[in-house]
Amino acid sequence: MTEQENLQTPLLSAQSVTKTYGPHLGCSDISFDLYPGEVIGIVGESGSGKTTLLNCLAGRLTPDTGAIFYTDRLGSALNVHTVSEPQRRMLMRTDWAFVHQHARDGLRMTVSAGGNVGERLMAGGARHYGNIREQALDWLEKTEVDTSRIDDRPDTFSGGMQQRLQIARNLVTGPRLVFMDEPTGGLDVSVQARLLDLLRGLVAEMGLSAIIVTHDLAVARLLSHRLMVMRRGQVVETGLTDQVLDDPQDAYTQLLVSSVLHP
Amino acid sequence: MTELLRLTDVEKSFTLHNQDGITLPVFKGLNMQAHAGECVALAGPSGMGKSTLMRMIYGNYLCQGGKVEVLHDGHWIDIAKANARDILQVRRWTLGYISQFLRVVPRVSTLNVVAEPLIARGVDGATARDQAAEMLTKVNLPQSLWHLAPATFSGGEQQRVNIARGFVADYPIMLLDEPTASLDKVNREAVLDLIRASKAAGRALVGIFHDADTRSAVCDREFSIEEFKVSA
Amino acid sequence: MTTETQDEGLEYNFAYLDEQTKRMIRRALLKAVAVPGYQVPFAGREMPMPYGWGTGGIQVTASILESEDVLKVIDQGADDTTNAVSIRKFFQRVAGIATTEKTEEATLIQTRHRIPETPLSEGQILVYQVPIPEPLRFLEPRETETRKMHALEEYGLMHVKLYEDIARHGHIATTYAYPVKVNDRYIMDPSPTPKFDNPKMNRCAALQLFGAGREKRIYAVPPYTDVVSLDFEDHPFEIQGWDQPCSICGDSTSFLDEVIMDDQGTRMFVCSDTDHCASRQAQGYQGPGQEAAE
Repeated sequence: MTEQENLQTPLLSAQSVTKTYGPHLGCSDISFDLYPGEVIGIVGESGSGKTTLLNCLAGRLTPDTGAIFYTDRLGSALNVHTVSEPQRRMLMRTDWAFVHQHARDGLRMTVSAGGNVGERLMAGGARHYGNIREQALDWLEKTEVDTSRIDDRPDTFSGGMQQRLQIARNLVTGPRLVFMDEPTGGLDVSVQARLLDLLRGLVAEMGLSAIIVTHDLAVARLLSHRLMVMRRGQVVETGLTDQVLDDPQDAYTQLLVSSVLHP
Repeated sequence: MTELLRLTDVEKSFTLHNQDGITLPVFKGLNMQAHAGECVALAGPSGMGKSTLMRMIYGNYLCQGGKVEVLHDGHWIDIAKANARDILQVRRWTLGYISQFLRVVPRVSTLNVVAEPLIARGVDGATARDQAAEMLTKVNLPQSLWHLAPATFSGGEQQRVNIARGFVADYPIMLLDEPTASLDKVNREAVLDLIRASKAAGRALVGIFHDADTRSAVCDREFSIEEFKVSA
Repeated sequence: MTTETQDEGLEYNFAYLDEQTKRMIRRALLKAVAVPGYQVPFAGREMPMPYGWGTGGIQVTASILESEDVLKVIDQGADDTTNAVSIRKFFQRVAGIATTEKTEEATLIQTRHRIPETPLSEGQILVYQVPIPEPLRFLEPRETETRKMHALEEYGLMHVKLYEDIARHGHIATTYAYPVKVNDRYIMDPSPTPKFDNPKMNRCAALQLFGAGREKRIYAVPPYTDVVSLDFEDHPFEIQGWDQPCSICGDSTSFLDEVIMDDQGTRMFVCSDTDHCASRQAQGYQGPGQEAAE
């Protein structure tokens, strides 16, 4: 498959994804395609089902109906939920990355920063301590974590540093698809700005595809090309990020946009 | 003259769902073209929808009806119907837009803000920054500011960063929303030079210019949207 | 088969456990031997001693013991410490079998934390007492997750532990319970034996069985199985060494214990394997400590 054709094939394709929790709706009948190099933002208030959808997409939750297909490096489409577990877990630690809202969900708090970054390398078979450490240092630098802290445990880091370390740990193996759940949630504004700038640069530089769940419209505007607005488990509006935010058509999106001071 | 931009029977209205669902009509049945080598001024009093029309051409606002066609890579693409990915491609290669205000990204230096459209096209960082520097020189932005983030700049400085960013990528079609509004005479002249150079290079420009001097200096014709206005 | 205990006339089944329990444990053992390094769950019984005293090893020993077996029990290499003496006595009473302190005479050796210095031979069985069978436990506390990691051979985490060692100490500082890969498949905790003994496990002629009483797991390394200690290319596996020989027998190749001699902190190093040390002395070898005493 050539580069050009590659860009015409969705990297991830969601087809009528529905997930309920008993009588409670998680997300309902959601379909979309994510293309290589594309960043999609999913916005909506708490409880709108955006995290449920993200977890379904990332293979962490099994949808009740519908399917999600991922196109691997060889060009074959894999059904994320019916491939064998070893294959899915392999994807999760090589091609995919998942950045959690709370860094401690995505880090090993009792392992040094270097060990955290090196884990995916070692899982991939790296067995040279010197090389692993060199790559860890390189990634700490890229994510603006003081390299002299490489042997410190993340529980001695600030929230912003922990989050950047989580990103380093996820991106060290050069994934193709990154899932992010409120990556800037819980950080104060100046720390957020630094993180956003970092993410923006890395996404562009590495040509990453990403799906970002956030309730912060400014984050969505800065990071995503396209936007999906969710409410009560449904996608109520979708389109180009700046169009959805500047000329929202749906009543709920209009309310959402007009509710923030500076989207 | 080659046609580069073609608007046919374009209609726009805003429906405010949270204000009793009232609909504010803007215009209807609007037709317009822009050709290679010309600069078209959108004319009409304030509140007529000049900026709205410009945003519709850029895909920033949706059309309620009609076609907004752009000649992109040898094919006509209807922005009103195109999917998000195609619009982004058109914006990357064909359609430039200089808005009234610079939307600043925290912490990104001026040089990188200007180089960004080139980097998005795959130009390597060093070359892109060289070209960005060249463009910043043309708009008279002092070199001491290049490595700072533009958030703290004055209105005129931000405007020039915005202009440099818009002109750096040589888009075949340029949309200019009051590009000279907050500039003094010298800097306005620098921008007018850029517009003249773009015309000479065969690009099509559509602009909103507040003062008549600027208009008469670079614009080939005026397009009045008043006649398409729909009153509420 | 029953054995009359020497006192009170009480009768126990041979080797204490009932035959059904032994069958159950032997089944687990067969599975463990068939899948080297894999932890087989078994329905561990209450034994007449607390957990941590070797209940896992004792159940394994009891299940495979035959009346003609000759049993040796060691604790940290020594035949004469409390744990070793008690277990030896236990089996003497409940099975009436012969015991020995000589490694080469034993058919069955139960051990806590050492492998004898004398190379084991075909036909011998070494039973290890294991406190925590899961090598991944301290990095990943979820049992569901560690099982999955074993099943899918996801062992990157084990190297993270070694990485942490080097990052903190400049070298792999793990000196006991040093993780090994068995038969190029499962990562296994060799029980808290010193890493000094790891090379002895590799392609060992004897059958090695591991019993964890509290956690109710059995695993095994069949004779002549590859057992490789994990390491990094630039930090290869090494065993520890001493800069002096055993004070008593003069051996410079065995695992030495440090013994504090007095309140002034005078120290001496002696073989941890008492049988090995004694047989060398019988052969006339002498260490620097002995020469000084003469």
